[in-house]
Amino acid sequence: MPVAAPAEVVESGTDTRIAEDRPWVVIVWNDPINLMSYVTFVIQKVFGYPKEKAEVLMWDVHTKGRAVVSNGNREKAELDVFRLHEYGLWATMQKDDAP
Amino acid sequence: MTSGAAGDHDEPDDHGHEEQHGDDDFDELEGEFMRRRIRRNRAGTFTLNLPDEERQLLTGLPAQLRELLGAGDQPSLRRLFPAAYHLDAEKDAEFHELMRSELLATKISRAELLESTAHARELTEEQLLGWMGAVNDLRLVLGTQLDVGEDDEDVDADDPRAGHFGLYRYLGYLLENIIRALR
Repeated sequence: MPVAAPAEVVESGTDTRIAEDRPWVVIVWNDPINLMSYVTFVIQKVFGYPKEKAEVLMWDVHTKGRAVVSNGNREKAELDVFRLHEYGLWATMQKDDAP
Repeated sequence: MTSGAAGDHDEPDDHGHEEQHGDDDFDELEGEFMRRRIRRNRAGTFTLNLPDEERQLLTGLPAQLRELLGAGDQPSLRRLFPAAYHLDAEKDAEFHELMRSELLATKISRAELLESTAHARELTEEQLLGWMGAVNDLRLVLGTQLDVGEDDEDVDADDPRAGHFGLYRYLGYLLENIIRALR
């Protein structure tokens, strides 16, 4: 009777996998129409972030012209962008390493 | 972005200062007044205390928005359907092909909700969120038509666009009010 081979131990290589799974960032851009309070509220609502975090992101958008609000794989980023577009925010997505 | 008509006052009772009747103070007072028009109830619903002429307005505007949305690719709608992949036109076209009809459906159903509930005395939280989206859509279209800039919301009273700027400002007050009630 053959002896069962020991179960293979596979290194999970977590770090590389996460890097490959999360190559997209979602960006909100500054625009002259949306209210600051509205942008904060929508970021809270869509991502479930606490108000303080949403406010920091909103100020980044306002003062630096843009802020990365979320990241993930392509499908997640598309869904995030879609939900931000539903609320009328000016959101785009791009590869994390894009210039 | 713009800081909004009602200013940055979060306290409900910050009106103890002397009135000075400058433009800013007028905005503050108007914002203060507007703020009390939508209130959260203990039951978790929202009471709307809006005058009839505003309700008339909020019945009529969504119909105009729906008409625009039905007319297809209009320049004034560009902020409602922004690019998703701004660095990749091909992927962006795919994205819009997949998502545009769903996005359009969201905007139309919110406009219909605002239109049909503009005379309601009370709204659920979900309905008020729908109002928020619809009012913001209206601001985006109007702001695009008026080509507003960051600090560009005031024009002279005799400017032909004055009426539309007034409407744009009103929608800003209303939106600010909705957000305060929802928070």
